[in-house]
Amino acid sequence: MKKYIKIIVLFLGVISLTSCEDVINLEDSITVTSMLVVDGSVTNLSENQVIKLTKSQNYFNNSTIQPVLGASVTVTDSDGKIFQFKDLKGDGVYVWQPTAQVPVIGVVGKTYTLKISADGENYQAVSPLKRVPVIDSIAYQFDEARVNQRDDAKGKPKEGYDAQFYARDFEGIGDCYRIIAYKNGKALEMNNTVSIAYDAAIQKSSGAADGIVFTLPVRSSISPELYLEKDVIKVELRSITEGHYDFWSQARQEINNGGLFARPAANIPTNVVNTNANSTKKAAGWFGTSAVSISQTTVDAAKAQKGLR
Amino acid sequence: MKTFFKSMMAVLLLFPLGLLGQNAKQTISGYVKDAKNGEGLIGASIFVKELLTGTTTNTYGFYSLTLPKGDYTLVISSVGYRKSIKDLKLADKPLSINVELQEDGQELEEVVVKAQKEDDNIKSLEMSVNKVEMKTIKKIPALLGEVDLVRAIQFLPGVTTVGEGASGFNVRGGGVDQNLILLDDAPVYNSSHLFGFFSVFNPDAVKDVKLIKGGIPAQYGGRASSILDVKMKEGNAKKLEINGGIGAIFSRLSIEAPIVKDKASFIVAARRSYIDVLAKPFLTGNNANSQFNFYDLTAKVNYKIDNKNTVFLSGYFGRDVFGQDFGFNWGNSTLSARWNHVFSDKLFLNATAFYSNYDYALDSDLNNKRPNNAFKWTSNIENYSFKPDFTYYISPNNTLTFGGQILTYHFKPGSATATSQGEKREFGQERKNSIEYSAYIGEELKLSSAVSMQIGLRFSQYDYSSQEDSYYVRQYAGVSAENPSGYTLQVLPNTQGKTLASYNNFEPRFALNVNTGESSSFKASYNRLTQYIHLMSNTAASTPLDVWTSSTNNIKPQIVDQVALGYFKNFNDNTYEASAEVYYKEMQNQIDYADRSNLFLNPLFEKDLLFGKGRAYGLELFAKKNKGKLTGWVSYTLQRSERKVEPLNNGEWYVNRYDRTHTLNVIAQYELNKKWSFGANFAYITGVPYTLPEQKFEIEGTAYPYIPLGTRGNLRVPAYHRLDVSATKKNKKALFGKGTSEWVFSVYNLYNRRNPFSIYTRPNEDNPTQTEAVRLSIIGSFVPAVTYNFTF
Repeated sequence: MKKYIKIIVLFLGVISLTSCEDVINLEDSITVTSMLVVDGSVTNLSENQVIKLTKSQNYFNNSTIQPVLGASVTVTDSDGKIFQFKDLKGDGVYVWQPTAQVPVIGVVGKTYTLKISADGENYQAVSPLKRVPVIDSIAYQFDEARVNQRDDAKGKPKEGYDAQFYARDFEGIGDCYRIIAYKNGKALEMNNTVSIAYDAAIQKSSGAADGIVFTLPVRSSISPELYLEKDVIKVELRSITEGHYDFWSQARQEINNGGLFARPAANIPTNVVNTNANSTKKAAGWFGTSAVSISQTTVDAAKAQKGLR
Repeated sequence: MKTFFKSMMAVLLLFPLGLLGQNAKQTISGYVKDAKNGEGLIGASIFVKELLTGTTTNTYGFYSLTLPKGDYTLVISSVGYRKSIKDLKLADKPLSINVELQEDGQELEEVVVKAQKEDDNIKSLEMSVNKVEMKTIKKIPALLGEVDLVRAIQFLPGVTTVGEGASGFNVRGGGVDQNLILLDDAPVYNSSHLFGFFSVFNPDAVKDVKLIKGGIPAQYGGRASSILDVKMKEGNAKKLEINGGIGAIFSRLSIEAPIVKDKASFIVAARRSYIDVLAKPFLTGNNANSQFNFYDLTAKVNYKIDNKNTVFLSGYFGRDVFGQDFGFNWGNSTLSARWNHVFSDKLFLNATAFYSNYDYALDSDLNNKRPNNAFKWTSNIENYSFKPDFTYYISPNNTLTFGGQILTYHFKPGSATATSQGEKREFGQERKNSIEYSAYIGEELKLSSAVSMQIGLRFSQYDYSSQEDSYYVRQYAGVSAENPSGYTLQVLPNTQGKTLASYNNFEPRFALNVNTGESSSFKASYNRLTQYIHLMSNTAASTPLDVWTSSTNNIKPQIVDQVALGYFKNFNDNTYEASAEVYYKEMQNQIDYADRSNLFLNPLFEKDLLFGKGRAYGLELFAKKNKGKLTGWVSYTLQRSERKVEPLNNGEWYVNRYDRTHTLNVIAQYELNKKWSFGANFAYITGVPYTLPEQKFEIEGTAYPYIPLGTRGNLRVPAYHRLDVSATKKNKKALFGKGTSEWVFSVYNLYNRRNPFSIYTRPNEDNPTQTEAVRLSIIGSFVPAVTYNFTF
């Protein structure tokens, strides 16, 4: 809904008023103890699994974020099987590589525990791996770019193919998903947002969107910009936990929180906790677990449809 | 109901009515009207020369005076009118005397009429009340030249907003939903067009505006902070009058005329914005079908059946429409019917029946192009009410008001249908019905020539029922990362229409005026106000989508107690009036919201609510110049508004977004000659509080903020200040050689200041690992405008 309101505000802003934004210089008032930041997931795909560990820093300190080095990182599944993650390049990116014997970590229905030892503290995050439906198809139609698909500075196409993917949410309230679209192998930037779904809708709706085909705003979220003829569209539909949904939902909120209808600032939740409850060292970020459905197509003018949007 | 009647009886018995033993006296009553157009004059003074006593007319221009038999000279006067003198003999029969007052004329050098009314601010019991004449409001330089009632009252002491363009206003540290905005007695739920840029009231149709911030009389109830009482014009009863204007945003036209001369008249006033019409040629492709406009229609008829009976019917209908494929519209409508009846010269009745509705709708498929993949959302709140108000003029020293109200609420807070590939789902928030009953009695007593007081008591009862098969009970489960509010909802079966919660409250009201000399007085007041409906809004400025919700078994009514003290003094023969007031307020059951709260279409929204208490206190200084070529006022407000809601801000007090420490407003209007007049406003307001993140962390190449707990609103946006000016040139003739006209040239934000609405942080657009702070100005430059107004 916020998206629509934004569009309206944009309209009004352009036409009737002279609102303006100025970047200003502000300084951090105090220096704080940095937190451990976890950015990573395990999936059911047979590929490198990556968990990136960094340190938080003062908000207006724009130097490069510092990696956490020399940490011990493991993921344990609910059967007690341990997967070791290694910092291969010494840059805080901890990787597990599949082998012929152990091709994947993630299995739907199992629960995974991330354990991190770093700088004398022990952290832990627990996440179950949820089910994901298959993607039935990807369809597209030729059209002009909408207001939010346009960006001349970044050279986004002004006309092209607007794509949607089709999949059906499972029966049962509370299935959450993240959708990632790739154009010719490159993940599409979404300008301060990520595409997530709760059941088949973009927002939590207490079961109203349960068990149906993903609603239009979810389906068309794979087109933050238009595709061109012969572009390869790849869509990843990932299951996430409800906590992870809340994480993204709040994260999106906090970086798009200006204007007339801003909300009071609130913290983005985390599932990473210090096992020593008395420690002052805290963690942020999220350890996710996903099952992934993938679908891919190459844009072909002859296969373009009409009346999709 | 039973408890209601019992309590009502108790209320009535508390008051010695003093209805007997009035034999040696007789009553004079009647109406005071404007000779030009027959509009009833509100607050006109009727002064008895021989007894040095008097009264004032009520909202309908009616007065009643009970005096010992004898010969009297009545002086009838009102600010801006020539006084009228009536000699009369009061004998065995009650007298009915209707008076029409001539307007003072435009002659600037005119000898000032000494009217009793001029020191009304000293003599009356009212405190914390601001009346602004439409004449004054029309001269205030306005944004884009649009005369705006709600923006004008923001120049009064004690009134603030969360910022430019924000909908509504905040009175003495109260929320925007705590103002009862009445248009001819019917509540208006959203006072704004285009979010908060323009208000819904058409200045050509408004007769009188009164803002009551404290010492609220017993006849008013239902909101916790203030009453904005807007009375519509009755329509010219003498001759056809056409008013209109062409401005930058709206075009206006109003027609008023007698139906039967001096007996019945009407007014119809309409406005429409035309940005869309002007923008049409520039819109192409997907935007060609864009609609964005707002309009309103105001109409009223009145019929004076005889000297004892007058009926009024008034209505308002306004709407904002935005959209292309996707549509969004919202609007208010009100209809009120009133009957003024004079029973016995001393007993006056105003019976009102009204209907009020606020609704909005969103539709993702406005043109019905893809019914199989659509989203529609509607929401509304509806009221029906009947409300008799009696005034009993016992003697010039004793006036009794009493009455009651039945007010029904029908809440459809949000129902949506989402269709995906032809599969349709309906969801939303539960429909609710409520009834608010109230009864009140108030007595205004002049105890001596120096001391007068008003005591009043209002009793209100609120019964809530759900129209669904289930309802929710809130239980505390403990705050956790997954559950930021700490509450869960238990679902219980419900019989539709069964009363699930019932609240009742006594609301005492008190006001005291002690004259401390000819031109000064000391006033004190106390009031308790109860509010049973609440606007669910968690954004900086309230949005048109915000939903009004009922008090329920989980949401308790808001209760506010306010004490105010004031000193009032006039100078130079009432040319200047000045006042100083202090107030302190305590607020119970204030609503705030847990992190990640979802208030739209969420049947479980009560889980996300947090309840706490609030307090507000302040000092208001006000000085006004009423006469001469230069008129205007200076107002200064020092205030604080805080709340304490667990677990927010670690359970400590924090300031509301509308907490603005210092507010200074200056309004000046200068009449150079018959042709030219000038206006200027200046406003200085402390910036709103905001919170800066302390740290940032990076996820997938984007920096996100981390806000440590316990720092709500620890910083302030720089102060807001602005100067607006206007010049009005009066023409002797309007377009077609008839009537009169004027050009209004105005500049809003003359010195082109980028006043910040807020400061927020964000990742840099080109490199989202970098972070920056942004200052947002809603109106970031000066805004010139020209308006043409005409009257036939």
